[in-house]
Amino acid sequence: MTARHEVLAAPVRRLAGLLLLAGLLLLLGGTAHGQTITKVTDLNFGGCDNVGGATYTVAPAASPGAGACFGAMAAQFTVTGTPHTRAHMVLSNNITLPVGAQSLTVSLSDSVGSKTVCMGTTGTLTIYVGGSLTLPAGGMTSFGPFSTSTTIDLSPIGGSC
Amino acid sequence: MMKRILMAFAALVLLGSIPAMAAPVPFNVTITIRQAISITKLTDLDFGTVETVSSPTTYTVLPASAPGSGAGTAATAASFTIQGEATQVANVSFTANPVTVTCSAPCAGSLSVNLTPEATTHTFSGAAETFYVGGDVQVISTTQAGVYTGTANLSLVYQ
Repeated sequence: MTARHEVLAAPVRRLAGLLLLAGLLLLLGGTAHGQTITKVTDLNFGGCDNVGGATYTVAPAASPGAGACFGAMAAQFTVTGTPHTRAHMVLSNNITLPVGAQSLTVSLSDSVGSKTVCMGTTGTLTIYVGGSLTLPAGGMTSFGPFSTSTTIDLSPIGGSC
Repeated sequence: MMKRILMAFAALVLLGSIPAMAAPVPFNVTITIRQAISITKLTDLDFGTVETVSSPTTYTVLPASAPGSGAGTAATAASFTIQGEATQVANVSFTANPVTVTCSAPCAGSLSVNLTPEATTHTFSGAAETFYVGGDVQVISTTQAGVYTGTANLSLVYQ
């Protein structure tokens, strides 16, 4: 009996090893069900005149639009993932941009619109993030470049599209 | 033993089937606030008084405090007080160039005036500065005597 057990044990160990390896590969390969988002460019409102009450807008598109300041550019992201999968885009509606002792509220907009990203048939898509802000009636008291940082995220959701 | 292995395998497969949660991707939001450009007109462009001619003659007002010798009597360049953010560069333009100046009744007709800014770009010092606009106009033998006027708009926009 002892000899028979040892004979069986070797194939079982090999099988166990193969199963564990396969499982590990599946675990690592599981990211293929999600999406990867990569930043291409930041959102830049460009150089805007300090005019009290003026609203400056950067369209969520390759072209910043007529209401944008000189040098404006929308943020651009490349999303890759499994074709026909979906994800929920996580992006703040408003962020605060400190400008010296003052601050501006930036309303963010995106080229997706519905917040649900569909990877389509190619598994690759581009997302643009623009924004809009209005200077206070009295204008700004500080000049120069001012920046803040925010994030964009994708949360996979079930189903296909 | 085999049961445990299969359970472990199933657990790994289950984990592998869960979509991965990507890390949030940070990005910057930037604005550059620039001092608003102010432009205030001091004087209009005036070619002065010129005489009617038998052959085409071009009269020129230099974009400077002195109009130069090619202008009529009492000519002046247009001048403006401009102010913008120090070291910043602006492009100079007109809403239209050339501009048409028309003769007031009883005369009739019009002339085309080419506007000449003292520079097509301007680097602000931060203080108030004077900016001149000159021009040239051609008078021909059929040009009627009279006062010709028109309107032009100067614009400076940061690059």
